[in-house]
Amino acid sequence: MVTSKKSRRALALAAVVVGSLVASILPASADNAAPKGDLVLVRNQDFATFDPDLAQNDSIFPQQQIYEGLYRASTDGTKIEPWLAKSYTTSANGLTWTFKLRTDVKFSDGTPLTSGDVKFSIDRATKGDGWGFLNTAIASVDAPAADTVVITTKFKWAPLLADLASFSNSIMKKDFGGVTAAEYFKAPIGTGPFMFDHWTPGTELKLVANKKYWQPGKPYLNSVTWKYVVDDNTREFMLKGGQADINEEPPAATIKSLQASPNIKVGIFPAAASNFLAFNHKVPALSDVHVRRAISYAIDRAAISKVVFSGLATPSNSFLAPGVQFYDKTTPGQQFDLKKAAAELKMSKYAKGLKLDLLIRGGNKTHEATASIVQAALKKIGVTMTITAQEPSVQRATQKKMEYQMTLTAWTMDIVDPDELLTFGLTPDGGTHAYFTNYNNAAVNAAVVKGQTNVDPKVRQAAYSFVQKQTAEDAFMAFTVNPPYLYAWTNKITGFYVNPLYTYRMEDVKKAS
Amino acid sequence: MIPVLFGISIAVFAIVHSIPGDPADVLLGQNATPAKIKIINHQLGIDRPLIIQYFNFVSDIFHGSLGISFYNHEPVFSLILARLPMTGMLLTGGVLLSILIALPLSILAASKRGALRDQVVRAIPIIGLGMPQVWVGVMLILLFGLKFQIFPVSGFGDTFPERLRSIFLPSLTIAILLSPILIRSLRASMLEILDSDYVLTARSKGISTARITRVHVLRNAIIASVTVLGINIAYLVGSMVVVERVFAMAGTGSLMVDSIARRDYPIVQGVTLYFAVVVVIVSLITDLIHAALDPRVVLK
Repeated sequence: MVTSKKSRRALALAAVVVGSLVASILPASADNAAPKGDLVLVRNQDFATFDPDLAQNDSIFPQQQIYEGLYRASTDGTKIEPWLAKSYTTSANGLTWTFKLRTDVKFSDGTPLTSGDVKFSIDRATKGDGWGFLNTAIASVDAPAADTVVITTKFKWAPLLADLASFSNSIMKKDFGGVTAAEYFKAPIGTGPFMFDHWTPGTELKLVANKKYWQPGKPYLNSVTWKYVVDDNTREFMLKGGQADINEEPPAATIKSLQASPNIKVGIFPAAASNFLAFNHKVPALSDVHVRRAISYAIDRAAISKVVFSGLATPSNSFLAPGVQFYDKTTPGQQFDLKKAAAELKMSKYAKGLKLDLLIRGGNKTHEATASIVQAALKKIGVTMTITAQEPSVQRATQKKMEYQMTLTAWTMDIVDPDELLTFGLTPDGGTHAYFTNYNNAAVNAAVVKGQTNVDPKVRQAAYSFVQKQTAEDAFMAFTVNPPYLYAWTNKITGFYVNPLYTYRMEDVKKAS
Repeated sequence: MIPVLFGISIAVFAIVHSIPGDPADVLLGQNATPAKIKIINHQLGIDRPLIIQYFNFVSDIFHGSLGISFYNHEPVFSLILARLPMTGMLLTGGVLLSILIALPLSILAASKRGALRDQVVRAIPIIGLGMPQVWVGVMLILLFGLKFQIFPVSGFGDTFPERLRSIFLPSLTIAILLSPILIRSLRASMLEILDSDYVLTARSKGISTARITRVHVLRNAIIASVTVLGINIAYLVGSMVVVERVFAMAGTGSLMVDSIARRDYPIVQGVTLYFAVVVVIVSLITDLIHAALDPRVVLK
């Protein structure tokens, strides 16, 4: 066919116009098929492991971008939503849970997810030394069909879905895809939005987009890199200088100046986190509930929030943090009242005063400032408090050996359900002797079991409200403050959020060029 | 060298194992119950008798290995090796910049004792030694990293030119703190030599001041400063962690500090041994340079 120059130009123009129109009406997923943007997140924790059983906060968040679970916590962290599982049914006796899996999920190496992978992963998690305690109730896991998993529990177990949503129950390839565990965790394979690129211990971990991810159009980013930067100032400089996109945990004292900085956004996310002053009940004076209450009343929580957290933390009233399921805001936890503190001390055997020691972590500014505030307050009611600082791991060891009198400690929830904390940190059989306090209240222990083994939310709420009320009255620990999670990011970043369980989902994050 | 390293291996092993705290406790974090700690300690082999553990440590060294990290299960040797380029460049950069700063200033000061320029240069060591490394680093970042954006705020870069740019500010931080020591030493030596008879003789022969300074004064004055520099390089090897932290550079100093906090015994032992080897080598090189510069010193 012979065409003139003019007509060729007209055809080319028409092709461009038609092409543009077609592009504009195509679904968004076509646009997202090519992820773009390389995100850098700076943090003061070095990544440690891809083994979910050994994961702590340093490793959990990156792991969650590679691995996924059958269920996951909702964005607001208060509910459980199906993820790799589509649905479940339970048997009449409540012991058998049958899960149907999604059939469109593939691992990043292209192999489809099957029930065999799920059985292998959950069985491994149950045997785990690190987080296996979450799966205490699981008797067996079976895989009768490729898309069906049956979990049988030893007894009725309400927190099962929350437990399955934990990172510890992440789904990996059956038998590690034919390699050893050590080899698998060097280059892990999961169904998540990102896959492993490289890890340089002490420097950075980089993940790249999983092009086979089952959620259409996601992830939006081409890569995510976690850089280990210890110094608070340096992280802030990197953010301001454009070398980082997100700063994890900027100090509370810098939040106002960050908020005033152009091009920087600050996230103050509600957290299911609590700070405590723990009592060793084996110490004679601290086995007296009036002494514990006196100390708890004497703690100026508002001052701790103001001095230590720049006013961003809220005074705590309960062992459970706001945001945890079944948190009861009416729990009458002791609040700052020196008159009540003095009155409680008068009711104890130590009306004339006593000497106690508070063990803290050396070099930890939060601990040092909190200890000073507590020390000053206790002096007013006749309690002379000395402060002993130990290097962090030594402090933990001393706490676990119960060779302390009082210490500062904290907890962040990993699952939506309160059972994790209550079993581990309250009951004497949870492995920690009630968070190394030696607290043991039979009625509280019974209520914890009642909460675990009843699926009726009303029954569970009643049980957990009782637990919160009784532990507050017993002042088993002094609940101090609930701090938020703090993050700062550049205004190029959108879609970043942290849920109360301290997790973030990078598949929802976009970076403008 | 071998007896020194052997002695160091015993000292390091003894110190590391006498630090309170438990590697398993660090690994398991807040979930660590005494029962779980026992299991992990068994897996790590730290429930064995100390003599067996020491034997394994030495045996690993003879097999060209420094063990495996408790924390990230990587070979310790590889972890140290991965950080050597950065640490090496940082150290070299810091020392070179120190010399570049110290040499002209010392000559300037010594050329006229008591003059204003001498007073100004003499004030530099007092100011330089009084400034904390962290503060100097932060100020340099604020000025050259954020305000003028000439150098990156942190990191090490990927290509050689990027790396040169990356190490400039941390090297300058080291130099600002190291050069005062050199200036003080070099100026004092130069003044002493300038008063000597042979310099007077050279002047009486009509040799130019520049030639006297270069050939007769500087060469002799440098001998003492080489020793001072050698000692301070050895000190720097173990103390660069502050600069590394401020500039977010993962060097051997950071590796050591992180590993102590994690009770990662194999890494602490390995890095300490590496520090010892470097210090011994630096001392050896210092002695060789000293002998080359001073004909009175003979190496046997």
